[in-house]
Amino acid sequence: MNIAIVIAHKGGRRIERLTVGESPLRIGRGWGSDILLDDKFVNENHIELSVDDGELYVRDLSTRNGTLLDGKRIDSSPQKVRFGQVLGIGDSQVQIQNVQASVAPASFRSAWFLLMERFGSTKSILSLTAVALFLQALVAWMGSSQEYGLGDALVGVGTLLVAITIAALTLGLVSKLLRNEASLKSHWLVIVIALIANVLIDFLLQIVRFNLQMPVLSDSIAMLAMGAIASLFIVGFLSYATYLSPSKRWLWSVSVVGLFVIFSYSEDWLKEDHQRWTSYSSSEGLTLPPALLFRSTTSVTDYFDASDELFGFTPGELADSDN
Amino acid sequence: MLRALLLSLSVLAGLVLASLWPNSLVAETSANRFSEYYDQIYQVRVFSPEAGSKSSIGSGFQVTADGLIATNYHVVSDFVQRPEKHQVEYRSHTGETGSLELLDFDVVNDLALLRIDQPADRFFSLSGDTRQEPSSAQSKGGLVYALGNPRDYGVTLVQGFNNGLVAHSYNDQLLFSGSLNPGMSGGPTLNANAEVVGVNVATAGSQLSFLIPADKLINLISVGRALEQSDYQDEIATQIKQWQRPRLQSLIDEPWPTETFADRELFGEIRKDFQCWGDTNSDNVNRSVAWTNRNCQTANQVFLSGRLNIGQLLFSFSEQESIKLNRFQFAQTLSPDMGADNQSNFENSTSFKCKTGFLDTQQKGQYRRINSCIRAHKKLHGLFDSLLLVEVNEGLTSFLAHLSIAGAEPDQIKALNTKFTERVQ
Repeated sequence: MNIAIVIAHKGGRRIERLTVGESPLRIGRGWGSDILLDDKFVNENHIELSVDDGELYVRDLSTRNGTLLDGKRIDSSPQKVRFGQVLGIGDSQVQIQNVQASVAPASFRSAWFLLMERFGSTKSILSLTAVALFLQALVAWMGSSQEYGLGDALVGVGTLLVAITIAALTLGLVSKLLRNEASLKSHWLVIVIALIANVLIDFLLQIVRFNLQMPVLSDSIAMLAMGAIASLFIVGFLSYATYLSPSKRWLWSVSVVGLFVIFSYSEDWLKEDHQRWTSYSSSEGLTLPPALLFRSTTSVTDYFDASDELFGFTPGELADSDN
Repeated sequence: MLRALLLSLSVLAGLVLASLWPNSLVAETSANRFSEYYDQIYQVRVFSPEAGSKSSIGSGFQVTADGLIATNYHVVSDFVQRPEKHQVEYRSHTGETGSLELLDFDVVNDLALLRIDQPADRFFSLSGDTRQEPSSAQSKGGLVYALGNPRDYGVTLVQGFNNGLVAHSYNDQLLFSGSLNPGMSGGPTLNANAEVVGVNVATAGSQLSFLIPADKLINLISVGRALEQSDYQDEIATQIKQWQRPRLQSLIDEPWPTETFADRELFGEIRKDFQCWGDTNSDNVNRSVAWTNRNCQTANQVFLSGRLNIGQLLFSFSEQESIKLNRFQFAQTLSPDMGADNQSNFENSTSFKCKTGFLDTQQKGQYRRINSCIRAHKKLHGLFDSLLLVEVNEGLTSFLAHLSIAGAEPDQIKALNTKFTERVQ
């Protein structure tokens, strides 16, 4: 029986192609093993693979640290193994692949895959998730106009965790359909990084907004910045979920963001002048503590001299609208 | 039992006597004396041919031999605002109707002059000066008699005391302790000599009503002009400007007496027409922010139409201190947004244009934000509404000072805003 095994150890991966015949095949640290593992927690002869009646079997050779099959401990009696199952041996993971199956098409090169390689370990993903949850709770605490207690924070974090899970599962399902690979970890990572980026950029935009005091300009800046960030992360999702080429990923991503922007602003853009009319002032509504004000100040006289322009209304604005 | 009956009988008798004695004499004489004047009251109505019905009613009375009819501006305001869509009509005591021509108006004192085609033989005479020449009925405490057609029920005579000029008012108005009702607007109020001492204008509820002193009407008649319909809006703008100029200039020029507010040297009733009210939430034990407010405003404003009024003048202070919120949360509760204090709409004014800035400060950890918003009146050229907010934020405390001026010219708005900002610093 021809198989391939994928061995992952400390972030590195190698693939071996081998044939399991009438005599069993041994994997271990000893020089006599058919597959050598450089792992100090692995016995000289650790597991044995054998074929019986067209089925593949594995057994643990009474080792010091034991063997896990998909997380469950096995003993020295042969256990049936299916393709794709993972054997935990010492610090290494061994996965058995079917060489009859065709491999997935080549992925386009993308920085997102590098990101996954760098932060893809469970530990990194958990840490980043914790950072994202903490930042979101911090922002909720700062942004609340009422008291914000531990209970509120826990509810917020819990809700967000559920939302991340649902989003990752949904994207995983889409990936499974489009690419036959759920990439749950990758999606989780992108979502978490997107949340962190969102908090940081939003905070920066708030400082810009507070210092500018020009709501229309601030709205445009925020729309552009958030649109760019959203496009970037949608490209990330598309990298993991499809085989689209980089240019097409960007095309799709920018189109989706553009449509969203048009959809959410169209009602405002289509308003007629009399529908925009308001008896309220149109000032920057956001206020931050004095420590976050960096702009220059003026004297009372200079301020009012510069405010003369407020009295200048165009003939269009003053047009008699009686009908 | 018997005692109780006797007691109630004597109380009843007392009541009957009390009601009969002083009032019955006056009622008898005035009823006899004023019966002839009932017939001289016209109902003034603004009719909308498009809608096929009247849009407002009021009362009017003839003041000259050649047929000048006086009423309130607000009775004919629909016509002034849209002359092409309305016409003014009268109905006499006989039920006879006809059209009236609008000659002139005074929006500040709420008066209008109209001309009737066929003048009656008799007309009302106006009392020369209601203030400087106190006769028995004109001075405080004198009995006066208001005539008008309330709610179209028929001409009614209302007797009450003239209580002199209204306090806390920039404009002269007489306080009349009688019940004026809608529809009586524009009718005359007579003294015992049947001279007009005032024109019915408004009510503030039970037995509290207001009259325009007759001298305002004499002034309007003496101008003796007939306005063109196309000049109505320019005329209104001119009248508002002429009224506002001295009204605001004295605020700009005169010092504002210092009054303490929340340990700050501020000001309050800076002129007799300002009234201040204060409030605090100190009795709320669960408050997350403690605040103390003071609002000061003038009672005077000018009604121009159902959709537009002008002339409001008010300021307010608010001292706020966080009790349970951190700096970020406290900042969230602060907003420089303001709303107009006068009524207007898209047809009458633009939206507000605002400019926000930060003023110099020597203190660390503090900012002084200033937000000034201006909107222009579309039909009243050269008049603007202004909103101003000065905010001193020290992280966990904040002081807000707000000034609102409705219907003024740029130079005076700027001068008042500057003075206000410098005083609240």
